[in-house]
Formats: sequence, structure tokens, C-alpha cells
Amino acid sequence: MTDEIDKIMRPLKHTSKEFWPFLGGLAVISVLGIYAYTQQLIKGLGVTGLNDVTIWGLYITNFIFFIGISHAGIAISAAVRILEAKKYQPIARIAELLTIVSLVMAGLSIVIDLGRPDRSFLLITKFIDRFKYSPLIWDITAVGTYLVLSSTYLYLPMRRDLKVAAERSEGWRKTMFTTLIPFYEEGEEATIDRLSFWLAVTILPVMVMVHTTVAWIFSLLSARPLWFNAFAGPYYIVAAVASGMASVMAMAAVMRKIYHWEDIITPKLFRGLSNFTAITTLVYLYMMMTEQLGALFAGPAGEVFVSEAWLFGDFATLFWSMTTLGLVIPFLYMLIQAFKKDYVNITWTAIMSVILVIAFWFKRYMIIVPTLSIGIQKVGIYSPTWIEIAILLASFAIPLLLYTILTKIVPLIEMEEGHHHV
Amino acid sequence: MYEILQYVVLALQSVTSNTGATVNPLGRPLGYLVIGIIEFPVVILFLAALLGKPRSTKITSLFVGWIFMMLIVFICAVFGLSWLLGIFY
Repeated sequence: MTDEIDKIMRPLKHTSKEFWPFLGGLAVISVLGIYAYTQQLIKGLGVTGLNDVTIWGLYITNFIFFIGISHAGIAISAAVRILEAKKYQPIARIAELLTIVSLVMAGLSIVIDLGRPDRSFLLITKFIDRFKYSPLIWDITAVGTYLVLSSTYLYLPMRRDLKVAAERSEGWRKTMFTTLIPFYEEGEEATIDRLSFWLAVTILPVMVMVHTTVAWIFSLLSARPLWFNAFAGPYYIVAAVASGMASVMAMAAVMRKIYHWEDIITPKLFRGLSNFTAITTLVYLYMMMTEQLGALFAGPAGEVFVSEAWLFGDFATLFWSMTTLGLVIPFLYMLIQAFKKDYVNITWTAIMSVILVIAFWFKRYMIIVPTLSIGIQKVGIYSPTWIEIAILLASFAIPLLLYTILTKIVPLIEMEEGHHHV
Repeated sequence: MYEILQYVVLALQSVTSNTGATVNPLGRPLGYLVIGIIEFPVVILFLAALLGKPRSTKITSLFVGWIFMMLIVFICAVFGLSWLLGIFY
């Protein structure tokens, strides 16, 4: 048992020589992004490729993307509790942390997109006036609720692990872990287990509403071709689950490799996640086909126009590359793997997961940019500036930086699970 | 029986119809329904936390306190960010 706990606590106690250069690299990218953002703040949104018609671009793409990534964490973790899917418990916290950092970045993405971000507080002060009609307010409410519940869900079951970590640490680490568990009392686990179960039960519908309200920000705008869509909610949720699961697989594979957790994060676990991701990707491809068929066959003129731009026009290269290389090939790989009994190649599964995640980012870009730049009035294809690219890179570096720092504070695997392995 | 059914239908219509709509314009805006759906699980959570067993006053207080603390952190973060970014204007 001691070996197992020591193994789980390795990231908290030891830091490899590669850690600091990695952290430094992320910090440099983040600082460059912050510098680019200050330029945007000083000079206005004119420094971006956005204009009066293409009002949304990379930032809102990032917003939908990070909201999507945030789904898998709690989905996996809640499944562990509600369905008693203990097999996935070793990656539950890795996934939960991904949820938290993604949600923070999703919120920041909205602020970055605003022309006057200093007025963000209006979202709260005008809540009572606007919640009756504004899908954006619905979304902020859902995201806020989700963030509050997710952080509670992360913290409560972690208290017992922080207690163990405090007992096995010395010096400033002991002080830090002890500070993180105020009012700790022996035997609190039974109450916490009950509360965690109810949190899992209640977070799932909130999670569904988060992405449904994200979808409504677009799909309730009837004048925007390809956005006005009755099944936008489920369509977005499926994308969120597929991309979220893929990102958890990639992250779990990296953690497994770095911290030598081969006997804790087992191949069987990757196989299960890979199969589930394959199914959700297939459902997504089906929904995408249905959407395009409807638009091309009997859609209003605007829908046909944008759909043709996706499939045969200005965006065809991006669309077909994303669909074939990014969605179909990873799906086929995971499908073939599923049919081989007890077989899983973790390296290739992780690579395919990363490809899938990148493809889903481009899919979100495809949702926003064609509709805005040619859907209403053709003003030319939106082209991001260096400022947007720098902020985009920082948008990935900042959550990764946060995550990397958290690996030094938070036990990444529930120690109870560690006991089961011994 | 028919009157009861009619009453139920009217009640449901008042919940779901939009004030902008021509049908039943006196109904509540859809936002009430949406916010209700989003926050309903939280009500269930609080009921379960306060009424369920095993129960510990200390842990239940910690749980409720944590949720309110996170809510305040979220609101303060929005105001703080607004203030910070306001320096540039």
C-alpha cells in the first residue's frame, strides 16, 4: 500500500529536470499572448481580423472548444460514482482537473472577444433584466453553476487524499496540504461520499444544459445560415463528449508515461474510452451528414450557399481535411482496435485522440466563420492576425500551465483507488 | 375532468410561452423555464445535502460554505477582471 501511495504522490514530492523548462516554455507563450491582448485592449478589436460582419472568429471558436473539453471530466467522474464504473477511477481526477482549467479558459475566451471587456460585470448586474430573453445570460448562468459544482466535486473527495499527503510530507508541503483541509475530522468520508454522489447526480444535467445553452447562442439566431437548428443542443453535446473523451485519453497517456503509472492507468481503461469515443464520433459524423443533407436538399438560399461553401467552395479544403483526416481516420482506427480482442495501442490511441481534438477545434471554427463571413453578406474570408494567433497559442498554454502547476498541488489519482490495487 | 385538463394546459402554456409570441402573449418569458431547468438540480443537491444521511453538521456546513464561497469567487472574478481591464480605457 505504501509503495502505491508513494507512486501516486510522486508528482507532489519530486520534480524532474524537464519540468522547469516545460513550465518556462508555457509561461513564455502565455506572456506573449498577454502582450498581444494588451495591444488589442489599447488599440481595439481593429487589430484583429474581425470586422462588422465577421464578428466572431478564433476567440469564440476557443470558447466552444474549451466548453466541450470541460464535459468529459465530469462525465467520466460522475459515471465512476453513479454507475460504479470503478475501472475509470484512476483517471477521474485527471479528467476533473481538465474540466476546471478548460472552464476557466472558456470564460476568459468570452472576455477576450469583447470590445469593451471592462463592462463584463454587466453580465451580473443586468442579470435580472436579461435572463428572460438572453441565451448568453443563460449560458453564463449554466457555466457559472457548472464551475461552482465542478470545483466542489473536485475538492470534497480530495480531502482524504490531501490528509494522507499531509501525513506523508514534511516542511512547507505539509503546511500547504494541511491548510487545504480546514475542519478535517476523522470519519468524514461517509458524509463526503454521500454528498459526492448527489453532486455527481446533479452535475450531469447541468453539464447537458451548459452545452445546450452554448448551442442556443447560435441556434436561436434565425437569420444565420446553418446555425438555426432544432437539434443544435444534442449536436454540440455529442461533439463535446467526443472531443472531451479524446482529450482525457491524451492527457492520461501523457501522465501515465511521465509518472510511470503503467500498473495504475491500465490499457483496459484506454480501450473502454477509445470505444466510447469511436461511437460518439460516429454519431457526430451522422449528425453532420444530416445537417448538410437538409441544408443542401431543401434549405433556404442562405443555408444552401453556406453548405456549398463548406463542401465545394472556399472552405472545402478545410472541411474535407477535418472530416477525413481528423474525424474519419481516428474513428476507423478506434473501430478496428475495438474489434481486436483485448488489444489497445496506447501510443497510437493517444495520437489519434490528439488528432480528433484538433479536428473538433477546426469544426468549431467551421461553425462560426463561414456563416458569418459569407452567410449574410460576402465581405471576404476572415483571416486572423498575429495578435489573434498569439492569443490563440496562449489560450492553450495558459490552461496547460495551470494544469501543470496543479499536478504539484493536487494528488492526480484518488488514493482509495491506490489501495484497491494493492 | 375537462376543466381540470384545461387548467393544466393553461398553466403549462403560461410557463412555456414567450411574451413576444402572438399566442398567449401574457405567458412568462422562456428564460424562466431555462434558468429553472439549469438551477433545479442545485435545489435537489441542497435538499439531499441537508436532509440525507449519514450527516455531519461540520461537513454539511463546509459543503454549503464552499459552494457559496465559489459563487462569490466567481462573481468577484468577473468584477475584478472588469476593473483590471478598465485600466486600459
